[in-house]
Amino acid sequence: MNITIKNMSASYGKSKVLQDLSFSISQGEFLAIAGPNGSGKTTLIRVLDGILPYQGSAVISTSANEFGEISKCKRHTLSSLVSMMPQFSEMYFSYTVKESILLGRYIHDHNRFGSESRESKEKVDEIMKKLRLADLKDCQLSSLSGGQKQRVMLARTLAQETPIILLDEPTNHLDLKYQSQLMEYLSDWRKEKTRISLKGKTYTFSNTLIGVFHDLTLASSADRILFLKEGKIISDGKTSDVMTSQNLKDIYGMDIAAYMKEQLSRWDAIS
Amino acid sequence: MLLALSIALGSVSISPKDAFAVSMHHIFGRPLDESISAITDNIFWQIRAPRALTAFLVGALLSVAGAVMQASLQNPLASSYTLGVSSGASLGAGLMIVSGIQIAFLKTFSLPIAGFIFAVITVLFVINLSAKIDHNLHNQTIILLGMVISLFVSAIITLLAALFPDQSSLLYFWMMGSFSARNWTHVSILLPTALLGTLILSSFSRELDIMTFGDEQSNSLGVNVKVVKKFLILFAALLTGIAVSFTGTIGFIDLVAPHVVRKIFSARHKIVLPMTFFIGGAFMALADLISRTILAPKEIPVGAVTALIGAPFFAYIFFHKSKEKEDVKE
Repeated sequence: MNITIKNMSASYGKSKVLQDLSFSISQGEFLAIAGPNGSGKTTLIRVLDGILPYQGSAVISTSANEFGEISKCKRHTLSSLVSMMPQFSEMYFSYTVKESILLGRYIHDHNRFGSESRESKEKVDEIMKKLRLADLKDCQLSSLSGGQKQRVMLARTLAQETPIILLDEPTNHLDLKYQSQLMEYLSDWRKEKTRISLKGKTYTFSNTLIGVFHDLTLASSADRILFLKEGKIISDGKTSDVMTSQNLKDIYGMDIAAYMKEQLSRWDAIS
Repeated sequence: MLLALSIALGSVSISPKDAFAVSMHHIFGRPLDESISAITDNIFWQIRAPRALTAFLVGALLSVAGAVMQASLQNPLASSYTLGVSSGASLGAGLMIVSGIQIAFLKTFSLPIAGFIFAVITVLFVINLSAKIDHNLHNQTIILLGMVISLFVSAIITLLAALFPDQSSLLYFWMMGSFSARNWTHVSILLPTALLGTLILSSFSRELDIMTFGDEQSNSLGVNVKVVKKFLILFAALLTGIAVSFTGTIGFIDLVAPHVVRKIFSARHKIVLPMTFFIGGAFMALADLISRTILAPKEIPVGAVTALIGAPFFAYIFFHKSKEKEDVKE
């Protein structure tokens, strides 16, 4: 399964945010999307999630040419292939940790009157155990810390069991310990495969991770980085190839490598 | 239980035993005990029972619709009234009252039917205009537009009342809501509407749960938000329109009942909707009981009662319960 983007543009109202992008993502890849503020990173993620309309073409396809144009996919099909780990936003309605994670099973359960299947409950229990949320399962979301809330969002995303996960700055508001934990969970997940059934057919895909990262240190844990600037692809390639000091200088308009090294040198003074 | 209480209480008291006997007589055709007078039978079966049932069903309908509006618009203060159901219905009723028209074959149902039609037209107008202005049908657009149109329609009603001062008190009384003189015809329309309506809305519990997380997350999780939201809002508005057209625009209950249920029981809609049905219904039956007994034989508008008891009760539940939650956290 591949994602192929060709001459794709997207806009909010009259302002064009993404201009004429063309690139592809192959199955099993970990792609980081980076770039300065306002470069269209989140917009690109939203296009891939089928939330934002676009011009041009963005296709998810297997070798047998199944699925097709994202904007024409049925919501159920798209949500079986792609899930998005959202940033937690405060809300009035209060659900418990377990209830929230169970909502990730929506596409798998077809009972109209609100009961989840046993399989779903077991899957959610398993994920909660893995993400160390089991002790919190009956806590209200609103009573959790920022790191715990992000973990619940990740758990809900994993519960959806899609072969592609989209991330939008998943480590926002997290301290270093949680950042590294989260990245660890995700890299574990990416080594796995996901089996999905659609229209009576079963597919097995290697997991694909696509994430927006502000923090270049986190972005460099990806196989490949796609740099956006002012809605255009400015650099795209293997992490070791594009993370060069000249390249970063061109993209961000400052000597990032020198800056980071200087910052890190302060650690030498800490015993 | 409240329902039974509200049937029993009144200027003529009827014992539970008699009430039971009368019910059995009418429902199962059991012969009536001679000790029960025809007057008791009449008061109970022709006046109190249908009135209390109407109150219960209207309360249930309004509350369930309120819960659905709050969740699908992701706003704890949203209700069918925000979208113009009440002002639309009032305008319809107002036009009938001032013009004095009574459509011949509809007779006394002219007023409710006009109210219902205007309520539905207003909501359809709000939704379609929202969709035209904002392709994604954002909640803020719907709510803001609903309020603007509601206020506009209310202004027309005020104008109407000013132009026809003789009929204005009648109109105001209608708007305050009342359950007096409700008979079995009302019940026979409301009962299936309420049961079927709640059942259909309950089948969307999972979508409602998900929609409280916002449109984008709902889409990601696989809910076709645009379609589902439009359906749920229209359906809830329709139910409210039916309830309101029979009784006038009784406020507050649709706001309070769902919140009370969410605080006490659970936020999950498979629990919220059925519980709201009962709590909202019971609360309305109680409000009606108070409205007709507290200053008997004078009746006070039931809308005033729901707000007078509802507001402090709501405040109590809301702040008391949220304090408890904080305690747990510590």
